Amino acid sequence: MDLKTSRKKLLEFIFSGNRKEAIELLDGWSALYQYRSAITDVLEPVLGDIGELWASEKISLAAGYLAGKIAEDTLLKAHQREEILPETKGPVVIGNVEDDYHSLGRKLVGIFLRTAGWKIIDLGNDVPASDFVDSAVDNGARIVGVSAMMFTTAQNIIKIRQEIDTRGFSGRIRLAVGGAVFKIRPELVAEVGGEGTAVNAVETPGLMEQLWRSVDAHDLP
Amino acid sequence: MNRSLVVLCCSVLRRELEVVLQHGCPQADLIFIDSMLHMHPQKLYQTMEAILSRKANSACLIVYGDCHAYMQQIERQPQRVRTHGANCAELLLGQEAYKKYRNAKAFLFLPEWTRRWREVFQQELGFSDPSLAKEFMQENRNSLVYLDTGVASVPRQELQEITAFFEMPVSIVTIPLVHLQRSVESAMERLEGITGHGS
Repeated sequence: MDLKTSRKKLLEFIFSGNRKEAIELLDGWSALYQYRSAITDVLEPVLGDIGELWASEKISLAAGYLAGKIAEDTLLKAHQREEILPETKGPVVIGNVEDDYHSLGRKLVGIFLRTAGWKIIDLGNDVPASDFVDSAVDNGARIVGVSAMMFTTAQNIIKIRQEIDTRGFSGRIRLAVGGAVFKIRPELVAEVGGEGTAVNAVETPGLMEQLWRSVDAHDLP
Repeated sequence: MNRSLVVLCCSVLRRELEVVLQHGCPQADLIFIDSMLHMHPQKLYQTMEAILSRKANSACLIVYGDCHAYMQQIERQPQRVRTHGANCAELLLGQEAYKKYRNAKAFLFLPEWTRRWREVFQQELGFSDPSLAKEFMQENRNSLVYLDTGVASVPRQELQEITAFFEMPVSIVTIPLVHLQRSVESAMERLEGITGHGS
């Protein structure tokens, strides 16, 4: 099966809820070309499509969740076989803002960043502002990536902006924001104090590179 | 000022709101939007805006949580007031109890959604495969709780089906409508302050 067909089939399997066939497809590709290729050549483009469909409400929660599970399974196998890029970048702290429990987007972002070689510290859902900054300081992270789905929870990101600023980390810890509400209302990125966003999970490694470089290494916390 | 009053509400709270309003404002024009639009925020926004535009000359009480990205813009329009609360569960439970359940990672079943649970989970959310549904729910929630608001008999058959589907027991918690009532009364007072519309 060629690459184009494999991607098409994988997307179909995810849409139809056929987890077994999807994993077999990726395992089969990996047997021929290694898991690294299965991730970067087959899985990532399909996850990118899914991210787009998710943002435009054209994919079910179940399909999005299944895609994440399939990606986790493949990443785990790649790690076990040491066929994945080593974590040479980061770390980056990610999490859903206080009061936000919509984890799918954050998980997809984590998958894409890990496959791109970023070390990720995932704080999970409903994370208080101080925890983001504490974790960034403790781990030497230059970027905090915060996800929010709804308008009201996005407003809680302002607390993280204030936490960064009042503790003197402005310009030293960058604040990346994302989630469905920012796609619909991009002006919110600046309103909540965000310093960057990505239109989907595929674009996040590029965003992180840009934000990471923007921090002067001499000023790190 | 003698304006007509429109109450726009999600159908998930239909029976509860009808109980709360039955003595408060019998002349209100009650409009309910299908709760399945919760899964389609853009469509929900468009539907709400279309209804509210048609009722532009009326004072409007919006009984909704933060269910789409433009709720704040909608309520900022003249003669419109929205209830306080992030979502329908918080409207029913009040902020403190809602936070308690949320922090305990409980999934809350409201009466209307419980009766339509297959439509919600299998059709709208796409969990036709019970094993995937179970994995999703058990990974993300610690418990399932049915909120018995007293407006309908407890749907025991559906709760059994839900328990079997997710392989998680559903506990039943009886709650009064006092929080919803307070939220509606508070919103009504704010509306009165803006439009002079009394209940």
